[in-house]
Amino acid sequence: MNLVMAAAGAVLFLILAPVIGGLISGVDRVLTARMQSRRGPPVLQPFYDISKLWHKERAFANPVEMILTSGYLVLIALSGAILFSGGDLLLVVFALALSHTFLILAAYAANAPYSTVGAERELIGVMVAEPILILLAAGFFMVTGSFFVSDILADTTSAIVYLPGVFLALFAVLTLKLRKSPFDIATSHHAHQELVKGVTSSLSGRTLAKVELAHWYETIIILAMMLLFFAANPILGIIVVIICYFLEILMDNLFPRVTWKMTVKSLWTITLILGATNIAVLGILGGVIV
Amino acid sequence: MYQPELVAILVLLLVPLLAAVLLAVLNRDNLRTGIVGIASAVIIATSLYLAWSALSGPVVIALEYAKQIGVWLFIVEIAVALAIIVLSLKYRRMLPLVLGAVQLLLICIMELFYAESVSMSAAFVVNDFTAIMVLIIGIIGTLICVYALGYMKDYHHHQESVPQRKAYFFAMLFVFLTAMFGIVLSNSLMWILCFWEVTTLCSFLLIGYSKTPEAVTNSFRAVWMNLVGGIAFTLAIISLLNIDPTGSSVLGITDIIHYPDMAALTIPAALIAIAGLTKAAQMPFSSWLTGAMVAPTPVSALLHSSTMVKAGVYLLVVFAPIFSQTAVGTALAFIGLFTFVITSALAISQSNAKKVLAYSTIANLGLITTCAGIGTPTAVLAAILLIIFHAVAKALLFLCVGAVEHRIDSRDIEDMDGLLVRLPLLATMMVIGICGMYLAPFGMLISKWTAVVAFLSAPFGWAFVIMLAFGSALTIFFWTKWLGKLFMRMSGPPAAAAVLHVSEKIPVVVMGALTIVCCIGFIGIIHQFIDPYLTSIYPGYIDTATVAVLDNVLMLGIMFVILAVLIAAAHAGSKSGRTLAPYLCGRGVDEAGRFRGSLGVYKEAKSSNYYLSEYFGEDVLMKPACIISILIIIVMFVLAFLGVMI
Repeated sequence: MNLVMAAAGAVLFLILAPVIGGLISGVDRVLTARMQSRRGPPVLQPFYDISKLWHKERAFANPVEMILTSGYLVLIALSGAILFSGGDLLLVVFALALSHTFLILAAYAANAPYSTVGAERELIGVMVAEPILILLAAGFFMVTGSFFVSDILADTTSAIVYLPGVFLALFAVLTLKLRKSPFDIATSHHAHQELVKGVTSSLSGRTLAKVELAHWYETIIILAMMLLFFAANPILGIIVVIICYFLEILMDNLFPRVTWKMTVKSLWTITLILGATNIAVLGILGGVIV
Repeated sequence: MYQPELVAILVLLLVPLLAAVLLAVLNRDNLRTGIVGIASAVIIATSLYLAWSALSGPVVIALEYAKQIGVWLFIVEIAVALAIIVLSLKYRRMLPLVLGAVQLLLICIMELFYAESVSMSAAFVVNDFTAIMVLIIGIIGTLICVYALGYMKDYHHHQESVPQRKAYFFAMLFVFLTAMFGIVLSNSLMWILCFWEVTTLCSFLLIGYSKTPEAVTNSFRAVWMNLVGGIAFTLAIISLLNIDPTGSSVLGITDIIHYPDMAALTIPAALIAIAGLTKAAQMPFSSWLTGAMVAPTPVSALLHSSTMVKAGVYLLVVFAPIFSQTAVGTALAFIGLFTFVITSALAISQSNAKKVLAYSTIANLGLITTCAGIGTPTAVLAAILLIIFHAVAKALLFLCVGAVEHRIDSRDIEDMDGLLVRLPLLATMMVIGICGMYLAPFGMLISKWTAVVAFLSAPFGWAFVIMLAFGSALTIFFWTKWLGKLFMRMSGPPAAAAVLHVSEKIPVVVMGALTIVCCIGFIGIIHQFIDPYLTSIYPGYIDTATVAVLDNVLMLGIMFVILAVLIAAAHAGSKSGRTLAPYLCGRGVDEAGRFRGSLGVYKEAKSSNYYLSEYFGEDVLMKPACIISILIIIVMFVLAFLGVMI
């Protein structure tokens, strides 16, 4: 029975995540446009984009890009599948790091200045996000005594009660993971940024489509991680996640000029002050709660 | 008739020694190849046999002539101390001279006042952990010696100012192996101390091989730091003998870890910790290992993967049960994790490949030290896994860097762009090694996973986890940017095929295969070797961690399959599609990827990695880190003298 549930979770994620992810991305673009007093594209625009990219001519700066971007997509889908099948949170974190390595390698492979700088900054992004993801897994372990999502979901108290700091730190990192800020990192959607799409600047056609698709998967993964904090009360969780996402869009439009150095400093400070302190307090008070 | 296990042990101790003598006397290239080849084959076969026989239960061997051997080993210790003193006099180095004299004095005191009354229970003990160490030394160590055959030919070709002393060099390598086997096979601390000092002397002589001023300075730094460790070790033995002057219950490793009154052991534990920290190049003592990079690459490979630093962590891991009960262990764990974070940060600021490897070694050893300090069964499990994966992957990486250096005349990571096109075999092996060091689903990651589990149930575990989270993020940065360089598209044509010596090719390929085998077979390693060891050390141990790991094996397996498919796809190549010049924001770009400059001249578009040295440079981090780690050591000793238990 458990195995069936796990498999169902994984399959549902693999099928539905791109659909929901794409829709979120479409809504995001409309909202962003409205905040800037523009009309914005139709909600389904991200899907049109992908289909357009898919039918373009195959051209690369380096043929290895094809394989590396496939690796990125497949592994990010896999880490989501682990998460949704009730698997090990630490493994999800490590698999995410592995998949991002593939994206970064794809950017390096072109050996062009823009793409290399993009790769370096994406790498910094991964480095900035890694501690909070590990602390998240550790925090859940301290609260529920297990790294496994299935055990966390079975818990009757929502983890948010014990881990508010970790949740806020994850919310801060969401800015980075949604590629909202900083504007000079990786592939923010701002047209005016100096790096012309940074990490993806050498990618085109199908390789770019795969990266876009992988990004939708990742959005769902991170949002699902936020939902995990509200395991006992999913309705509240969904409301909180929607509010968080809206705040992200708002922040993106309020602070359009955050640079990568500011991001590293502010995010690591937040991780330390909120995330690490949360873990420390939990550790000092009771160690593993269960 | 001796029992076969004893014969195997004697072979492991004596064959490298015999080979060393022969290599020192017979200074001809083809003879040398023969001796190294035969000795390596014998050592590998014997270590496999010994490990196999340890599988069915620990092999405990008592010797009739233990006392006489003890006297011989005492003479060796005196000789080692004298050699260090003489060399310090010759090069006029005060610190090593003083420390050498102190060490000599202490050894004499120990021998004159205590040796008579000491009796020993078992001379050699081969348990499952020893078996793992024997395999690491026996297989990886000898493969590095084989590799050195080809490497040294090129080395003297590239470094013409260095006088050829190959006979001496190879002899030293094999003496080193004997000493390492001695450390892991002996049960008595007095014997271990002797072999311990021999490794100090060997590393000292090997680091100074080229006799350049830098090499001499660095070798003396290595020797004084290791002498500090040696003195701490000797003091530990003396303080143990003060607890029980007959030595029968405090000098054997197996006896110490089952000693009934752990509270009496805090001071010896702290002293042993210092000995381990120096040899494993932990934080205040880390500079000797980075300094050791001046030696030829096989020496670095040997120091980093299968000998020397592994002796340090071996000692710490063996004494883990003591550390788990004393506050000294927690302090030790802090030093280890602090070292992990700082050296991972330092590695970011380095572009010299060997230095990156050196810092990452220190970082990983820090993680092992932490696990030993925590000392719970899960922590020891993580420590042993870390030792295995680190030994294999790091040896592979050093061998690759050494071979690459001789082909492209640089060990700088910035010069390694497009190496997968230029030197496919070496670069592929390098990729395997790097992935083995930090990426899922490779081994290091499994060890880190276990380490997190172990930390979470330890006292102050939350602090360890926080430090691990940041340190591990830093490791991602420096490994990935190196990996990125290897994958770059080459704008120029690939370099002409450079010939790789057979003696280099075999160890590199075998080591690459070993890395993958260890990663796939880690469950087997845990089940066959580590679990039985933990059961014998910790009464009432039930493996809970491995059960949880098993649940993840399916996922890791899937990841392996994905990687394999990707590699296959990369080999099949994607011929369909057009290759374009890289995007340079609308600049005119020619076929080779060069851009049109403002005067109409085509220029190479060059970009280099981030090193962030304003945050992570040696001059920024080194001093505060040393001060902090020294403070933690002081705290450790205060805790030891107070006899604080956990």
